[in-house]
Parts: sequence; C-alpha cells; structure tokens
Amino acid sequence: MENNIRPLDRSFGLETECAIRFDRTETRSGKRASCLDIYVEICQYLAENSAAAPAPKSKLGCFFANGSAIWFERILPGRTEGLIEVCTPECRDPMELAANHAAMDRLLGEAASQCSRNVGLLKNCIDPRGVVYGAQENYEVIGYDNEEARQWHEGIDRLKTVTSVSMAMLTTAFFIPVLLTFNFPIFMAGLFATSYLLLCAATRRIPGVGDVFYQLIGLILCPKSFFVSRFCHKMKIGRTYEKLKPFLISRGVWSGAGGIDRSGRFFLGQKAKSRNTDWLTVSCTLQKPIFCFNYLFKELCRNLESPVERTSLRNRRQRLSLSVGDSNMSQEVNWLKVATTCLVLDAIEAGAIREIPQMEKPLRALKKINEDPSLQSSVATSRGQMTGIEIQQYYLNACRQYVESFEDPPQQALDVLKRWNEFLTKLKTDQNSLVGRVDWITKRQIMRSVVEKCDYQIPVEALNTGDEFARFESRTVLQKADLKFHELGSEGYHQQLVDGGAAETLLDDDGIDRATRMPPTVKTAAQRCRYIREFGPEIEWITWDEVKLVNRDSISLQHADE
Amino acid sequence: MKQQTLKQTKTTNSVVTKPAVDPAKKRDEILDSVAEDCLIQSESYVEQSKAPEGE
Repeated sequence: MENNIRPLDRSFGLETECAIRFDRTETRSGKRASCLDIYVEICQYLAENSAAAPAPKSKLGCFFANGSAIWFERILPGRTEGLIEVCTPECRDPMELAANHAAMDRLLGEAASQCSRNVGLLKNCIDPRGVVYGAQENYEVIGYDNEEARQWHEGIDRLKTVTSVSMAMLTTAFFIPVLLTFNFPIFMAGLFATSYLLLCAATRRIPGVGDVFYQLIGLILCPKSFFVSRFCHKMKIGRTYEKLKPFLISRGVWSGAGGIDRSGRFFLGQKAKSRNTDWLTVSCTLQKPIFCFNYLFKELCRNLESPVERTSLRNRRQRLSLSVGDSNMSQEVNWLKVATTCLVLDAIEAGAIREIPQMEKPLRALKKINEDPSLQSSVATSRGQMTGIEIQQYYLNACRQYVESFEDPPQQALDVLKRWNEFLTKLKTDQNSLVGRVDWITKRQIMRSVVEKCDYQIPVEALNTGDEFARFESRTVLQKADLKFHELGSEGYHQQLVDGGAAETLLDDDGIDRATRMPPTVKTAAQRCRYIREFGPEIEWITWDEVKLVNRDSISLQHADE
Repeated sequence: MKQQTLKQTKTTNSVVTKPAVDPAKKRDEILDSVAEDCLIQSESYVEQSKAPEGE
C-alpha cells in the first residue's frame, strides 16, 4: 500500500441541474414566460446579493463570489426551454463542498420565491414523463502513473491541434463503405430518419428538427467519441473506474433520492433507474452512462481560440466524471456521498483495494439493487452473491483499514467511516430511524402519509417492497409528493421537515450563511473570487481557471494541484 | 436525543449536527400537513414540473 496518498486530499465538485416549475400557459401582457426568462430573473436576484461576473458568451452562465457558477442548460442554442445548472466550486474538503451546496440551495430557493411568477426550482433528476437530467459528480484522479502512459496522454492531447482533420478522417473512414453503396441524399435521409426514430424511442416524445439535427451530429461524431472511450478504458482512469464501479452500483442503498415510476413502483435511485450503459461509447443523448467522459470529448473537439476552461489530457491529474448519483436533499447524504467516494478513490489509488467484488453484469446489478427497497436482493459478484449493503460493507472495511494505516488520519475521514457504518447498520436493522436522514426513506415515509390520508391500506405483503404504492390509484398525488420533496425553498417538503426540526442537518446556519459569501479554500477558487470581488464590472468574462478583463489579455488562474 | 458532533479538519464551517426536536410528534405533524398539501392541485403541479432533457 502507498501511504503517500492522504485520505480526502483531492479536488471535487458537484454539478446539479434543477427543473423549473411554473405555469407555462399563464400570459402577461400577451406574453408567456419561458425558462430563459425565469433564469434571467434568478440570475438578477443572485447578482444583487453577491458579486458576480459573466461566463464567456459561448454559454449562458454566471460566476459568483462564493466560487459557484450557474448556467442555463439547454440542448440547442437559441432554445428558451432549459434547466438551471448549479456548480459548486472546486473543493478539497467534503464539508466545504456540503456547505457551498447548501448555500446555493438556500440562495436559489430565495431567488425562486422572489420571481414575478409562481416559480419553483426542483433539485431532482427525473421529471413526471421520465425525462432525465440532474446531478453529476467530479473527482480529481491520477490520470497516468508511468512515462509510457504520460506519452500516450500527450499524444492524444496533440489531437487538438489537428482536430478538424482527424475528425474528417475518422468520420470518412467510418462512412466510406456506406457512401460507396448508397446514393448520398438517400444516405443522409436514412441517417436523419434513424436519428429521429432513436430520439423518439429514447425520449418517448416527438422530437423537434433541432433535436434530430443534434442527434445526427452525435452519430457523425461517434467514431471519435468511440476512440476517446477506448482510450479512457485502457488508461489508468479506466482501471480506477472499474475498481470504483461496484461501490457506485451499490451506493444507492443509502444515497438514492427515491421515486416512483409510471407503473407506481418505488425505486431507490432516480439516475440509476435510467442508466443504460456503464461506459459511454458514443457521444449522444441516447446513452445514459454511469461514467461520463463528455468533457474529454469536448476538449478534443474544441476550437483552440475558444475561451472556455481547459482540462488538458496532459495533466497528471484528470477529472473522473460520474453520472449515477442523485441530487440529494439531505445535507448529511450529500456530504457522505462525496466523502465516501473520495475515500474509496484514495484507497484504490493507494493500492488498498485489490480484489473488488467484480460484477458479471454491472447494469443488471444496478437495476436489481435499485428496484428493491427491501435491500434483500443479491447480485452475482466475483466474491459470490452479495447484497448492496454487503458490497458497501466490503468497501467500508477496506477504507477503514486504509485510513487506520495512517498514524494521524484526518478527523473527517474517521467521521466519514463512523457515519457510513451507522447508515449501513441502520439500513439492516431499523430503516425507519433514517427518516429525515436518507432521502429515499424520507420520501417513502411522506408517500405513506399521503396514501394513509386517502384511506388507502398498504397490503402487508407489499410493505417495504417496490410494490408498496403500485395499487394506489391517485398517481398524480404521489408524483406531487415525489417532485415537491425536491423543491428548493420553504415550500419544498424536505425543507419543511428541516424547518420543523424533523429532518437532521449537518451544518449550522452560520456555516451555510458564510458559504453564500465566501469561496472554499482551494487556491483557484479563491483567486477567481478575488477577481470577481475586486474587478466585478471590469470583467468581460470568467471561467473556472481563466479571467478576461475589458481591453486586457486573459489571465490564467493558478491550478491548485500545480 | 444524543448530540452528535463532527470535528472539523479545517476552520471554515461549523458542523454540529442538529438533532430533530421532539422528533416523533413534530414529524407526524409535518408529514400530516405535507400529505394534506399533496392532495391539492396535484395535477397542475405535476404538469408544471415537466422538464426538458438535460444530460
């Protein structure tokens, strides 16, 4: 084991997309509001309450003096329908991250309540039709650990300078056989039709021309994204992910946000429900992966002049992006989710986790664990049949051994182990004691209250299973409970439990209040925030690691890991 | 209820866990009021919550 990797000593951050709830039929002065209008109102409120600076014009967004950023996330430029994405700053302390996340929740809840219309921001991952969005976690990991791998990374990174050429060559090579056998217009019409049908199947709605065009681009670019995917798979980042995978697949037993599907079945995790691949192979909206490398793909396709953040493949530290975790309302789970994932990554990189419970069919295992609130289902692993809790227990034991190998481990790492163990124990022995702490259990309790209010008796044999609410007929009532649980601000059901003292919080009000104003201690975030405070109106644009003042050259911000 | 305290590694945030106050009774009251609210205009709430694709 390598003891040079200290527990909880890496950068990480969360991206969270919020759906915007409002009455789309309401007109004022003959005009209907759009998501974009509401985003602008929310931004204005936030900018009035905190120093802010705009992102580059290529993407609608804003950076704040507490290190966070918000974006208007839309599938195509020009669209007025979209989501509000909130990004925490890069942090190196899970508690700082939890504080910043809670601070942004509070600010957004306040901003929504100040809008001119009745607006709610839903921090969830799935809408009533099954459309998926939501959370993404980013962790800094070791990208390469030997000279040969470094050279590979550098070689691939050089592709950027010949992006258009390599793209054309790869695409041509991929499509030549088809072009030789088909007439070009027929081929394009076929491709368009294929994109249309794939989108219909994936989104279960009629797509617009723009959506199909976007999908078409995804299909044309698929040779390149396939290449990037294979590259990641072969490199250290891929091996790290493989060792992390069973942990992620089973993590939902305590970190899932819960929900009900169209047939009324209750499940643990919203994102887990929609995953259809564990590894992204082509860059398109049809694939919902556990591990995501879109950012690398964007990096390789980027125009060199584009003033957006650079995440070079040359860096020894790379970004591991995970798309399987839910947006959590519980502060405690939010903190523990990031902190345990960090600890597992630490243990993997230190060589403390070797023989993981490898799963034969990871996606099937994910679905099986996710669809069983009784937590009794076991999945086949290289260490025999294991339940989700047992897989978590395996990782907990490995992390405990790793942390205890240090003479003076960080107190927070010990706290993480303690809470993690407490959650697993209570999941086995007394799930109800986790109401107000674990999101899916709290949400299920709310749904139980709702059906009880409607004089519906849950069949005894269905209790604690996914079928608990399956025969309850007023589906929209349960859907409202599901959705409003995630509404930010005092109207949200989770927040009502917090305000009434019936749900535990991890941070005190002063800590959250401070995080609405102050950045985390990471150097890059602190520098970025200093620029925003000192030069606010003079900033033409700012990114995570670069700032451009009016009539000046852009300035690179110092990386924390350099 | 027993107070649980997380010690900090850095000095930025206060991290004292606030336990639920009179948990059982208070919780039941809130759950009851939440259940009541769920029954009101649930269809329009659900309709208003539709979101565009995000991933």
